Amino acid sequence: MSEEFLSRLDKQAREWAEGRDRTKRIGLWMVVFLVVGTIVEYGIAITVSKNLPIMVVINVVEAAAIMWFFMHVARVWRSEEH
Amino acid sequence: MAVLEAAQVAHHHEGEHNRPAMNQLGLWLFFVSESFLFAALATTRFYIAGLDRPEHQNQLLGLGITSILLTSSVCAYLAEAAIARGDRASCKMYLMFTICLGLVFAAGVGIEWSTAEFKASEPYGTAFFTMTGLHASHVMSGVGLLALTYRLLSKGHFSAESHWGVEASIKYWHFVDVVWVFYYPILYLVSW
Repeated sequence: MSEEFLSRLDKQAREWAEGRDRTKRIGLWMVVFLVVGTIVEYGIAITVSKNLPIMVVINVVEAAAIMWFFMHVARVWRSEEH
Repeated sequence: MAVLEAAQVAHHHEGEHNRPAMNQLGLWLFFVSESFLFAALATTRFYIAGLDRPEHQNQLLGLGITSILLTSSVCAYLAEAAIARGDRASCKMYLMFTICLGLVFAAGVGIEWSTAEFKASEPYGTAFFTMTGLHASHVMSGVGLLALTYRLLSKGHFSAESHWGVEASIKYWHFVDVVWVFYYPILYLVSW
């Protein structure tokens, strides 16, 4: 095997590992954000009596985060992507 | 407008390479149509049962199953990222986690149904059982889709270059999750 082929393989492996680390980091931050957000929401619900506006804000933010990071909503506007 | 432009672009450039754009658009239109159904039921809950939540409700169970469903969405995201890299083993592992967490969520809803202190004939009970029932049916169909995807992966289907089946079933799972993000406070937490 040529040196060029091996270096290309090495580069590909590094890119693969970096991509994996990035998605794991996003996944970790998202699970913390969503679960903590839900616990905060629960805390507010049992302590604040008129909580409807706060609930709306928290849930819109949570839903937007899921749609942006997990559902890749931006891709709908980029027709060329897979 | 941009969505319509994307549809027009996809229409003008016929060919296999434009299929993903049309698939994306079709899936998102399906989500929009489903959203109207879920939104109609959410509105009904406030109309027939008022703006307050009932006193006797298993709040901890509600919080628990919500956390489980949100965690399952993260597993689904990791599964999609894995197949995009061509890592089939990790994709299968995360898909299995997602399926298991989905089943735990459905079991939690079942416990909630069997231990609920309100009746289906009461206004709040009508809204609660209808909304959770419809959502749970979507969860179960999502579990079925993910199980089918898992089976196809095991048979050697999908790759880093071509994995629309995985992407679509996982997006559907995220959609079910987004619906619950709104249904959880509407059923368990909101008061006015």
